[in-house]
Amino acid sequence: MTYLKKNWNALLYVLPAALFVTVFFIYSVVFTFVVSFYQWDGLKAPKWVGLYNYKIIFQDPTYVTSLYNTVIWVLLSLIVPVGLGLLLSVWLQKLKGQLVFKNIFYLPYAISLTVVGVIWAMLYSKTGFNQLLVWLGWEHLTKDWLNVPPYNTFAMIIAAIWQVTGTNMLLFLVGLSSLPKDPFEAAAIDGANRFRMFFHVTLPLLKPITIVVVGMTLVNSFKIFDVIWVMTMGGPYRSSETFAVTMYRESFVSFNFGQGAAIAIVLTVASILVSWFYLKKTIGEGD
Amino acid sequence: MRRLASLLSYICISVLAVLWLFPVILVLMNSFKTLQDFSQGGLWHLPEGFAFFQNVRDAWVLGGLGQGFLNSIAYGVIGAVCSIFLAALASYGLVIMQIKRAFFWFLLIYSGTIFPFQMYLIPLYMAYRKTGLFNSFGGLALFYIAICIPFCVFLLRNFMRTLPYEVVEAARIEGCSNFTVFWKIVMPMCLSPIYVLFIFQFTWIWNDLIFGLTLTQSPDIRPIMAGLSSMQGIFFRTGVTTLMAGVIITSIPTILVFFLLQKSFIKGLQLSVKG
Repeated sequence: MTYLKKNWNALLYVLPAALFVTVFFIYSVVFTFVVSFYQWDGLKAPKWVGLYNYKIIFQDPTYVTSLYNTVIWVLLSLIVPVGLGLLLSVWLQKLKGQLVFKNIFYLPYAISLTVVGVIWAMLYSKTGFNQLLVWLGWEHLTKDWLNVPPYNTFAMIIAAIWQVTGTNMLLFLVGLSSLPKDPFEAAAIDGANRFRMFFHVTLPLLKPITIVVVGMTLVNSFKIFDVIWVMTMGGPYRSSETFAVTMYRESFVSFNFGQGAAIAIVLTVASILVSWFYLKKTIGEGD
Repeated sequence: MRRLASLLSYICISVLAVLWLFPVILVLMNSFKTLQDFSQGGLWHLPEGFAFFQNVRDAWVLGGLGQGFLNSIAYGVIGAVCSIFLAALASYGLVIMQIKRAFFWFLLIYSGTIFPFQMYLIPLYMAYRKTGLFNSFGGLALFYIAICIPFCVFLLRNFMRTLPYEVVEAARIEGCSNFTVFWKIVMPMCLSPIYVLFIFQFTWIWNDLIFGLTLTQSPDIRPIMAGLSSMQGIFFRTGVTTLMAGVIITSIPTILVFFLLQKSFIKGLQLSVKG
């Protein structure tokens, strides 16, 4: 009570935002957690099933496929865009005409993932890459890319890589431009070549920004939805779903809310565990 | 040797850049074609006529993107402005008015960024169904305001901590009310992060697909990305040229924002990275 009395004036300023967050998100997290222990279609009374919704995730082939796909997505969309982004940034850093190249690689990031999905669905269609392969005389290589697992998953990952690499490059460039000059000069005097310079000087100095880039990429790749929904809707026969898509389909196509909620919880736990370092860094030490 | 190496480096990066640009070039090329032109020649040949404006009109009217476009402009502006205002109020309470246990309140608000969106879908869908917010403009706008608040608070709080405290203190001693200090002194000093935040949040709302799909249903309420995804279902087989014009319509605002305001965008990245 004394807390209220002393702080009511400041509370007036903080509360609207805090209320919004509580009503929309904290309430939601609790609700989803509770629902994950029930079987519920949103109409009839929910039926308690304990941990069944969780157990089935690791047993039912559909969910296991989705689990595998999620892991592939996370791994590949971590390694390739971060690696390529770093490579491009170091490459471009000292190149004349940097600006033109920078803008070209960065352009896809200005396009939303939904649009990226639409564009690449066209590229993977009959008239796209397949036509090109036919012209090159490699007809045996043509495929219905988006309808054959596991090609469909890899095809979509390439689309996502195309979109996100530019941001990583940009972040690394920002990081590179703020590095101190002395260590480089010292290393140059010691006669270090370019590769040694990169691995022993640049990379260690870039560690803080690398943590951020890796964290951001991880957080985003866990919840990838738009590209898949637009390109395959997780199909055919649910072969290209990831957890985010499975969660949506279970909830809003099959109206199996309990299952959807359990998948959402697993997704959350996994993504928080994996991005723990990043989260700790952004929240920072308290006051 | 040196020159050869640098020439090689240029050639490699140019090839990569051209590959990178190719999807965009194809989109442009095919949005110029008539449907007949496309069905005879396919994706890769150069357009023979110039049907760009016809395609844009078709996407806008037949594809229903026009309504989505206007909706999303409204969602983006309302969502960004309201969330920034509420977040600025909260940051002011946290930092300048120095509420007790400020870190607790900050964490409470910031927790909104930690969870994947999949955690919010089911409860919000059910609650929106019950309260009549489902498939309403106000309902989706409220959600967009809410989702943007945590990150705005994060950035504005960090920024307000760097403000010269004496200026604020002086105004207070002169007898200005809290809200006057907030509105007349602190807000004007925060204009540069506010500008950055507006761009970030507008783009986020513009690009959102999953909440538009989940919380709305009818085309006159739906935001643009949900509109595009249903247009994709209809036009993918029969109207690639129109679809490509649709791609351009949906991307123009974000591309404009990114390139015209690239400096402040990079600044925003820096601000959000520093933490």
